[in-house]
Amino acid sequence: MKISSSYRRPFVYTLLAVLFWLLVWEAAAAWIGSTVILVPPRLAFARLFTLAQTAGFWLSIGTSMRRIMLGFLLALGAGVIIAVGASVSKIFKHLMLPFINVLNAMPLASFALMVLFLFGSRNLSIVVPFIMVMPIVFHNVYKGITNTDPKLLEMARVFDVPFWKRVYYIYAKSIMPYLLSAASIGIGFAWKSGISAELIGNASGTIGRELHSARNFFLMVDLYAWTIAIVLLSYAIDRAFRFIYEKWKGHTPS
Amino acid sequence: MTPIVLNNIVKSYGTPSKPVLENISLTLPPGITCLMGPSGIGKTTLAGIAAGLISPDDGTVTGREGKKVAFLFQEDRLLEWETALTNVLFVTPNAKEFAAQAQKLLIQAGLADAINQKTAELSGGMKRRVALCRTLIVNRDIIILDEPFKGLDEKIKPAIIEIVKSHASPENPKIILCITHDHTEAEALGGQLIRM
Repeated sequence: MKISSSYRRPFVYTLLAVLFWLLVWEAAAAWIGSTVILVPPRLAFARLFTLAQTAGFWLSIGTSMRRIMLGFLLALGAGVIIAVGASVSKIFKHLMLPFINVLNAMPLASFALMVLFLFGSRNLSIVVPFIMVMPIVFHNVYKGITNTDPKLLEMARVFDVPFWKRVYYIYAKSIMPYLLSAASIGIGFAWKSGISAELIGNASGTIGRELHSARNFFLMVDLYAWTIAIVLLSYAIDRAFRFIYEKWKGHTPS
Repeated sequence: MTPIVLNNIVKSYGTPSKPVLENISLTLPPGITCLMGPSGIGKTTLAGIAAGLISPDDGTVTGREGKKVAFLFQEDRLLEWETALTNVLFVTPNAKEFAAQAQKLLIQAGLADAINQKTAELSGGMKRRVALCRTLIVNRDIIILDEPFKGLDEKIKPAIIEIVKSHASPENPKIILCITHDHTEAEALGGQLIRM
């Protein structure tokens, strides 16, 4: 199939931009001349390539991903449940809002340390992403519920349409764009906060532990290689979510 | 079936309150009643009060107890992302049981080709007919039709008028209140005519 030049162009531009910044990075590293201060990209990528051939690399990624994703999915579920509760009961809403606002304002580091003592390092990368993402999901889904077309709801009420049918046909349609947007933003937050939590908690067999070791032993090349791996994984997850979002949007004309 | 009686209805909106209905009384017997009048005179408000969707500031409504309502709103209020058939079946208690009847009704309304089309893709007149089919699929005692022929092609209007009339047959008595601006539509529908 022939790909049109207008479709190819943005990809070519992105590739050229990435190449440009890699060259800038390489030149800066050559100018500094110390791999302790700035590791050149070719060394970082070569190390990443070597690491990717070890089982430990994939095990660490698997462990981190499993825990962070669990925290993320729990945040999605809890955020939706709390938003539904808040839209049904004003008392519940006023009860939850200060709690959610405090979670929103709390610095990640202090929160991670508190959680470390409460839940241990193993669960830190589940709890921290959960806490980071849940408020985003709550606010977005709550907005989706309150923005549901009141005229459609009145129509459903007049015809005595059962509650489950209203949820499936009216509320879900209104909430989904907000939920998917929250998920798309939240996935990045979950990933970054989860790895930071692992680093703070020094959780064994995780990406955070690898970063911790690299810093402790001045393995700067490893630090850069792991950072590149994190960025690539984050990008891949983000693209996957956007793909799902676009696919869903394509099925439902607004 | 007992008629619905509206007695000395008063309704105001806004601040400072502006009266829309002042001491309006009317009786809606089984069969068709057409309500005519210029825009903004309070026809939709009066229909909403008759249906029990709007509370009057003063006055009484009797004869509505135990009666169920179907309402064709001034706006179509369709699930735009769903098909015409799904929209009609949305208000039925059992989609499987009503599927054949819904299809028949859509075909009668000249929508045979649009049954499985998403309503967002339909023209204004087609959407209006889907909304009308949705109103008529359920067996209700009171049917309120707020400008049912709005945006309809002149060619299709007689068929739609016949569909509405078929719901007011003596064997199946229903109270049908139809709001319209057009005198010929009101005449074609027959029944009681009230001017506001």
